[in-house]
Parts: sequence; C-alpha cells; structure tokens
Amino acid sequence: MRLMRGNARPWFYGAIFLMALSLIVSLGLPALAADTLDEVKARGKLIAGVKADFPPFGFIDEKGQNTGFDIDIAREFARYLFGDPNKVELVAVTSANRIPNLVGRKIDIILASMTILPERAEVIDFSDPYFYSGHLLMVRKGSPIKSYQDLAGKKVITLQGSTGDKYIKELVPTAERITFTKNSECLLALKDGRGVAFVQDDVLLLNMVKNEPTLEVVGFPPFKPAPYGLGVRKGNPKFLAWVNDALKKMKKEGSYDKLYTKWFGEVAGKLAKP
Amino acid sequence: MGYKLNFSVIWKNLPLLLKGAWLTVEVSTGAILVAILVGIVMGVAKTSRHQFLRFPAAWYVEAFRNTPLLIQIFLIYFGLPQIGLKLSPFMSGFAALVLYTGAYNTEVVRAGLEAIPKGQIEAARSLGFTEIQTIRYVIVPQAFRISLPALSNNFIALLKNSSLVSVIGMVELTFIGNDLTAWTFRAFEVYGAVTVLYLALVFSLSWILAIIERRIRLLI
Repeated sequence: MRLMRGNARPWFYGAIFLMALSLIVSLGLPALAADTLDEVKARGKLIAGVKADFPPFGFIDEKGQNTGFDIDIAREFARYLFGDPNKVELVAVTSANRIPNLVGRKIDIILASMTILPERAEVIDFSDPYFYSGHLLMVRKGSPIKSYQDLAGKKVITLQGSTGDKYIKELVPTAERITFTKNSECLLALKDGRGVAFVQDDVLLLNMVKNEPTLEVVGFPPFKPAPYGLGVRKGNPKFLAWVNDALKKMKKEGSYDKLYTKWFGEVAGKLAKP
Repeated sequence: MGYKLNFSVIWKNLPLLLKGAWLTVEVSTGAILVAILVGIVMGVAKTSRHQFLRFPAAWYVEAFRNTPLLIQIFLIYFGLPQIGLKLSPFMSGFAALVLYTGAYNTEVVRAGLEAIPKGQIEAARSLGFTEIQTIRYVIVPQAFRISLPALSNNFIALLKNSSLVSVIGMVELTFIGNDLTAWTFRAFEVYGAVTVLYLALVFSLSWILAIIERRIRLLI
C-alpha cells in the first residue's frame, strides 16, 4: 500500500507533463503550405469523406459498396482530376465527426450531405450550394404529431451533430432529445417507441420511409430549409475554386441533372424548394 | 494555416461537462456495487460441488466475458425491445456494465476462494468450527483480501468502459464530449478536457479503493 501511495504522485506529474508537451507540440506544428489540390494531384487520388447511412446521398448497397449521390459526385471529380472515376478513396464519416476528419487532414473533402451553416463556415470553407433541403418528422403511423410545434415536452429522436438536432434544441427547448450517432440507430429507436418522432433532413426521411410500412413522414412543408455544400479545409483557395468549377461543369454538361434524377427522381416533388 | 487552440469552449461548457461526468459517476458507482454482488453469487456458484450451480455460472462467465461490451449494450438496448423488454438508456447501460464486469468479478472471487489451502479448512473443522464458522472466520476474510486488488482493477475498467454507453444516447461524459466536438469542431480541446475529467475520476476511484484495501488489511 505504501508503494502505491509513493508512486501515485510521479504518475500524476507525468500525466501533466505529457499533456503540456502535447500542447506545445500542437502549437508549434509548422504551417503546411501546400494547397489540397496540389496534394491530391501528387497523391494520384482524391480522399472523400462520405456518409454510409444517409440514403440517397451516401449509403452501403446490397453488395457492400458505398453508393449514392455524393459518391457519384466524388467519382465525377476523380474523372475530372485523373480521367478515372475510380481514383477516389471513400472514407465513411458521420455528421458528428466529418468536420474533425477534414480539419484533422484525414480527408480532402466532405461530400456528406452537409448543410451550410455559419458556425461550420468558421472552421471550414464551403463550396457553392449543390442541394437544398429542409427538415421533416418521421413518426409511427397514426401518430398525433403533425409538425415540429407538436413536439413540446415530448421525447424526440435526433442524430448527433445534425441540423435537426440543432433546430429542435433551438425551436423546441422543452423537447427531450434522444440522440444517436447513426441514422440507422435513430430509425430503430423510433420503431422501438423511444421517442415520438425522428427529426432529420427531408430527403433522407422520404427515402427511408419507402421501406418502412409502419412509419410515415409528416411536417410539410419542410422547416428550416437550407442549402448543402461540400467542405474543404480553410486556406486552400485553389482547391475550393477547383471544386466550384467542377460543380459548374457538372451542371453545364448535364451530369448533375442526370444524377439528381437518378437519386431523387421519386421524391423530388416533396423536397424543400430554394 | 495553423490550428489555433481555443479553450474558451471548455470554460463555456464546463457545467455541461461536469453534468456528464456526474452521470458517469452515478452509473459507474451503481454498477460497481451490483457487480460485486453478481461476482460473489456467481463466484460461489462456480466453486460449488453441485453441477446445477456450477454450470450456469460457468456459462454466464463465458457468455459475457467472451463478447464485446459494445455488442452487449446494443443487444440490450436495441435487441431486447423486439422480444418485449424495453429498458431506458440508463438501465440498459447499467445492466450491460453490471453483467460484463460481473463476469470478470466472478472469476476473481472464484480465484480468491480457491486460493485458500484445503489444510486451513480441515484445520478449522478439526478445531471444532462448524461449517458456517469456517466460512465466516476462515474463508471469507482471506478470500476477500486476496480478491480485492483484482476487483479494484475491474472497477477501474468499469469506470472507463462506461464511456461506451454514450452510443445509446446516454448523456454521460463521453456523449457530451462527442456532442461538443460535433458543434464546436474543437476535437483537441474537448477530448483533452474529457480526458482530464476521466483521469480525475479514475484517480479518485483508485484512491478510495486504496483506502479500503488498507482498512481491510488492518481489520483482518
């Protein structure tokens, strides 16, 4: 026992020392000057952060492959960059960890159904808008909940780091939010009756509900509509300009419209309008 | 472009972090106490002469020690409702921590009981101790003393493992950390603060356990 007591102190100081050291190291990191565009070209492939549980933007198909609107855009970018749509590495991200992934240099670009928000724009740079989305509510069929105003004092299921979570916190402060890190978990929690509604982006809910005979989507027209953008690290003007040019090129060449119809054709009429 | 540290996000959200830490303390303390009971009951059952006690205890240990805690948490929270048992996030996390750590405790208690030489029990019986007296005065004090350091390890592991229950929406320390990171994007500052808070919690727990170990050493 004496031994343990005698040793506790050096450990404690050791821990403090390590933390101080890591602080100093992180402060002293040299500024990395290369623009992401040069890095990507030198590497020979684009590393894109995409969703794996957000149909139709990014999800895993029956064959276990990443697929979706965002993934098709990533492949189109790779085609523009290297003439080969397969020169792209897809990294699965969540709403909560996509910006840390980008800032932490794990990925070159966020292609993950991300809403353009001022607080996010302080940390990363957004491309021009490439999609427009508002929020709806998914409920069990026959639920008395018809809009977000009905959620006062109720248990509401949200996704961590999503705009749905943010707006419920702001618009319905009396609601008790039950928060998960994956859309699939939110869906399961709603089916299990852990909350009265699951608040998320219109396009996701409208796609998810197609396979859910016991659930329905309410709350039209979608509330708090806002544009989606792609995200790049701050201080990479060349890469940001390239991304915006690539989006424009896709729209001009018609590949954007083709992808839009491919992925949103069925639900396009119900989505938020700019 | 360098990343500038900004710790104001920690000070601003300190009450939230402390609230999360408190829930971590609550669920861990509760789970530690119940896991002791589970360990004792199952540990005794596992050293029993009777197969109908020994086998269920052995199966329990194998089932919960050989599967990931994360899967147990998902199974209890998302799986059980589909067969009719719906537990709250707190109860689900609590149950998973108790069952998982209880399995480890079982082995510790069993080892403690088996470490007592047969000769001591025979000696006690020849001195005229009844079976109950032998257990009370010879077996329990020694087994407890032998088991305590290993139990302490399990308790510290439990406290740290409690971070996993954040995945089922339990708003404990790790959950708050993830949430703050998601909205402030200051991963280094937030997880740094969370680390310091866990460190403080684990140090406090080890300190308390060390005091208990010392007391018990004086007592028996």
